[in-house]
Amino acid sequence: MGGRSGLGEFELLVMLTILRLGEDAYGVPISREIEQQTGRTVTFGTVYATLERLQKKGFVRSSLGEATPERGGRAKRFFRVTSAGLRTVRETKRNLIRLWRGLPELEGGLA
Amino acid sequence: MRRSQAAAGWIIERLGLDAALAGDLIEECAAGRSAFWYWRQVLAAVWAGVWSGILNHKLLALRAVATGCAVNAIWLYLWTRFLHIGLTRTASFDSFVSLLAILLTQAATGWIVARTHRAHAIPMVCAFAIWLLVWAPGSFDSPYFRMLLVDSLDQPRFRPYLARYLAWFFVPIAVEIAGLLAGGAIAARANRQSFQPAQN
Repeated sequence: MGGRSGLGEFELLVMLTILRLGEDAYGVPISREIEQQTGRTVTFGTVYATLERLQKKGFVRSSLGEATPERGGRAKRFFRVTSAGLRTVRETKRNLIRLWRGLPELEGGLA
Repeated sequence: MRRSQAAAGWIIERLGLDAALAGDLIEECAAGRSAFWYWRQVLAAVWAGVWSGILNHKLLALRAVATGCAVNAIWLYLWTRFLHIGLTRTASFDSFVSLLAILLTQAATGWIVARTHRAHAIPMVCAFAIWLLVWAPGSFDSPYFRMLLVDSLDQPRFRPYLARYLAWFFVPIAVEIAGLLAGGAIAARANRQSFQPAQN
């Protein structure tokens, strides 16, 4: 996990959030969604550093939107999960479920 | 707030971070976030940007340190050869000229390091600055400092000497780092589009 081809915990959170948001996945909603779903405070710098890493791994791709005056003339950068990224998320899920099964401490509830 | 947003945007872009990040922060401010939140986010982005820049390009960081050391060796040679002054422990003309020389030479060093590492200019300048900070304690005269510190505890008349020693030690380091960062910032190109869309 967290290696060159695998996914770290925060990387997985970001990937799942991009998938949940669909077309509207850019910095602001990604950060807000992670905060709402996990209750943890995230900084935009961390989110962008993670997105850059995921992009280098080929798991996400990005495209620029239009520059708007409300954003100080800066464009939004929209992120999409690539097919390689989707495969890795599925593989990570399978691995986690496999590890989860048969653990008496974790059976009978989510916590 | 608008002026500080422009300043923060300038810092973010000079660092080679994504301009969209600056736009996201401005959008959040417009949605009611405080100035404290904004600057916390900017500092966190700068911190993350510098560290990831250094950690993701370790060899480049080593090259930046080597470049900085080589340039500083030239400055040191020129200083000892032509500038026969040094920092004194009291405020003097020699100290002022020395600090000015440190500021200008380190700005030039920062500029050269940034220009020879254009893709990651500021993180590489910071790598060299960190290197200098790591080496700085080597010139710290700890027995003298310990003596002053112990004497100052119960004898107030030694406190000005302690303050003077600390200033003599830390002011040149602060000037050195400020010069490096200023030179690096001047040389760094604004990089509005650091992300290259992945081909898939």
